[in-house]
Amino acid sequence: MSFFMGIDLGTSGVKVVVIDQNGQVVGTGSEELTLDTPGPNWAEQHPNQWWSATCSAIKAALADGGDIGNKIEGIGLSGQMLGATFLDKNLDVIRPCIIWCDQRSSEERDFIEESIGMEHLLELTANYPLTGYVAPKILWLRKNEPEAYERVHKVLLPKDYLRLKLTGELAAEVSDAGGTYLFDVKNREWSSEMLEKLDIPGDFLPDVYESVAVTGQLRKDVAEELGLREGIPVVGGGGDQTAGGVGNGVVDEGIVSSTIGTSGVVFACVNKPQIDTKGRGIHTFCHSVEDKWAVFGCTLAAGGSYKWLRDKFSVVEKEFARLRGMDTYDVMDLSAGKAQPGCGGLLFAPYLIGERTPYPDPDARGLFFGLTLRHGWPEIVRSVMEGVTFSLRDSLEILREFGVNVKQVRASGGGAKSPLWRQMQADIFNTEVITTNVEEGPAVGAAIMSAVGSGYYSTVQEACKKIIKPLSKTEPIKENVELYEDLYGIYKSLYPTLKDTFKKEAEIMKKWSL
Amino acid sequence: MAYLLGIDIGTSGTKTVLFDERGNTVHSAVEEYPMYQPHIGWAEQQPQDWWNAVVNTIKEVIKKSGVNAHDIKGIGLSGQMHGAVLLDKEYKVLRPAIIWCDQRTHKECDEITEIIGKERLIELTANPALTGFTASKVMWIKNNQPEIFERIHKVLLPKDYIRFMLTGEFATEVSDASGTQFLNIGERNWSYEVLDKLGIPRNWMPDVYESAEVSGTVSEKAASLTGLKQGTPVVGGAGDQAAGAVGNGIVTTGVISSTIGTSGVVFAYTDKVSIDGKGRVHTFCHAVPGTWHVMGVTQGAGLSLKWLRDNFGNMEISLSKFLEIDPYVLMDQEAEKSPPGSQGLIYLPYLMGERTPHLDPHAKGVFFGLTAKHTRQDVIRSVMEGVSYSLRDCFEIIRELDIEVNEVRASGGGGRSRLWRQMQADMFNRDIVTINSSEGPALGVALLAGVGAGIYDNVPQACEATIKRESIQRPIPENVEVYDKYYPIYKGLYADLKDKFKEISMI
Repeated sequence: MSFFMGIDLGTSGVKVVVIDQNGQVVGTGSEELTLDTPGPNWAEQHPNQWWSATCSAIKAALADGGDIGNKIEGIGLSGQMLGATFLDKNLDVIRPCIIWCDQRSSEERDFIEESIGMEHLLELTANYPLTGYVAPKILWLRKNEPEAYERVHKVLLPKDYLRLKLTGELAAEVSDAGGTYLFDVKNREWSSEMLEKLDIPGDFLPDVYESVAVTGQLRKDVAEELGLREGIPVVGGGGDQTAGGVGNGVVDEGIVSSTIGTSGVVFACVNKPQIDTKGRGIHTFCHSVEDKWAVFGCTLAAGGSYKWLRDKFSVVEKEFARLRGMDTYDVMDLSAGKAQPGCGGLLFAPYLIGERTPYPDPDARGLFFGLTLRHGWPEIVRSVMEGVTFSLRDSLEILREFGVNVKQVRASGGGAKSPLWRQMQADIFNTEVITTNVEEGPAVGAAIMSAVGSGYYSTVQEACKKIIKPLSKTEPIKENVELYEDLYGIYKSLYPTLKDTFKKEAEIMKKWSL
Repeated sequence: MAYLLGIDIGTSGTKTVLFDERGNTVHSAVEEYPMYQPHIGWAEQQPQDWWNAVVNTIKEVIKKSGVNAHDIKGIGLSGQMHGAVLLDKEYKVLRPAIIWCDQRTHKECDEITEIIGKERLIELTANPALTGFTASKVMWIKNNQPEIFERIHKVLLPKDYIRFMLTGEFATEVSDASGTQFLNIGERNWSYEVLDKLGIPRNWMPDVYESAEVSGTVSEKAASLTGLKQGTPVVGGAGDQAAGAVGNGIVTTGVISSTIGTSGVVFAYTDKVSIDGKGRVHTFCHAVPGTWHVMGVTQGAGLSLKWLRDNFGNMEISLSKFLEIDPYVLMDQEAEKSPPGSQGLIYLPYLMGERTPHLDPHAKGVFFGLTAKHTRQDVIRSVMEGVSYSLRDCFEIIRELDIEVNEVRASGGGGRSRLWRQMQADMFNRDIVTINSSEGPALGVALLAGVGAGIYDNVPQACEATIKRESIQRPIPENVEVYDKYYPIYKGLYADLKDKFKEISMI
């Protein structure tokens, strides 16, 4: 038996999964993290906490597996993207990491757009500039904390800080590197032009590797502390999106994943770097698979919309679930199941916290549209599920526009647990939808990368074929497909119709502090 | 002491109320009857059912009150408007009455518009062709039941059929006749142009009276059936809207009413004929001689909150049973916790399409501006606010017609909510008032009967003598400001979504 460890450094916690070479989970461990918000729209975490949580989670996973520390043959890293961890020349942390959801650097984002120009930025980085990327954060530090900036020797992404602690090596890998906005995604290397134009020293950045490449070996002292063997290889790993893609087996063109967590992500693997030039909130990053790229769109409030409906409105369901020992979501599914597909013309737009794909618009707002007396609670519940799925289809359509021939969608995240929601996805996407045996996508994906990097498998594709197995399969129902096609047409037109009104309301609310 | 009898022939039943001359209710009686729906969208009733209910309730009121029929000085009739009662030359009812909410006559409306011309029709009758109105119902008979059409001798409105049964007279009055689409609203008499062009014989129409004029007296036969005294005067009375307005005191310049029942109505008095060229509000002859009323209608007013109660409100309904409190009261308390403006959540109350100001059967309900922070409290409040915005739409058109508004009288079920009244005060930026009487139409026509019988000098004086203010709420300046900010967005949403409503109706 060969065991491989995947570490996923999330925002709310660290998860560690150990699998055997067949993908069987042999041990899991996790440890929670806290988030600091020292200013409005600021979000920080301390790397020291990441490291101590990681150590605890590793120990917990090894204990869970029953003394398997000396059987681990490789470690892969995954985690939250876009965070800026600043190190001084002693490789000590200068200040807390400014993480992905921090919005303080919006001026710097605008500066980048103005000084380089959108078209050229797309050529250089393959992505539209976002406040959350690392480059604006570096510029923010330079302007607002110059004494800290003076001391900067290296800038690392969150999971790469764990690598430093594990192996003593400074390294990045291609998938996560896209989130710095200093990376030439097309050529899979740092963009010297971006660095130069923004006047950021090139040696701030570590060497960049492919995700499956071995970037270093586990240090002796760390190995002893954690109960692992010294010298086991640590591979590049991947950002949580691409590592999740690997964990879902989305490693060849034609397979797409649809993940309904708090947010929703439709993720595809493509053979060349497809770039959306229309500004529709699509990310194009290097995939954690050699010679492949990842493109994905994001619905900000996917499961989040359903959770909102649960927490704010489903009082009776909650009570019923409690009495029956059921999950409230399952009771809501029962309600939704009573409504007909299409909800008799009731549509929901899930823009509860603004939207990313296909409308990057913080002012967009949620909508129930088309209410009549025939609509009751079941239609309300179902329309939320359908609206989220229509929004995911918006992303899917852009991927289809890129020429991706979508043959199969792999459903994951909490939403994939609902058979009703899977059927909706099959019907609204008009593709078969499957679920797989892998539950912790990013952690398992990282473990799979380490199995390739350590030489057990020769390619990621081969590993995925061996490890990932379908659990359920849902085929589209023809009548539903046709009905949803018509409704999607109207759904799609609602945002453009209301765009100006969203903006007007946001302005009024801001101006008058309503 | 003199007494007055008000009879309201409603859709679900007839309510007969005996008042003393100060407007106090002495006794009231109700008898229900069915509505028949032979097809989806059709609605019919048997005039005989109405008459039976009228006879029984008059008998009951006289008996239970112990009032001597001799002291009943006048009778006023009110009731559901627009219905078509068709009589043959033996004065027999030819077929069940097609009533106000019947929707079968879309084609006939197009036909009427075609024949008369859209603008001309509004000029003459103050309204576009509407399925609810009597004219399209008569035209439907012409097109679909010619054998009945041929035998028509008289066309009567529901309450006017009851007048015929009580007095033997064929008569109507200006307010109810305004809902036939055969009346020239400005001239307060039949429009021969409309009748002639539609091929309806002029002599099918009864004589038109002012509402407070005596139109006949109780016949011997009716007296023996009901226990009334033969010769008791019966005045013109009024359609339920105008009668309700009189009962609410909407009989002088500056006073309007805002009623939140299933639908919502903003009703204004005007002493000059004001017609909206776009047909967004109805202009009718008022029950006060020589005056008119203008009225805007929100289809889904109380209905919206009822929908919310029945579909989102399981919790309130269950709690209300334990607490023995009306679930609406609980919902009010929740809504009160959300700030004015519902944190940017805006509701469009078009659950059943909309009349004023859009005249659009395809319009649908919308919740706009949802965010993750919105709660039940915001949703409930937004529904009450959305209905109030819609009433404000009516109010704004009334203002456009240059009608003065100083005071708004709240009535209907929604008028019982202090919160909802405050919203209206804030949206309209006017004082909102409640009054002591809740008998509405029955009181209104009893007062008209009192004028006809000479107990009061005129309608405003009758109202003054009987109707008292119970509560006044003033607009809260900060809220007025908030609603003024959101109202343009509310208004813009229909314009944004109009085409989409139509598209989704087609699927």
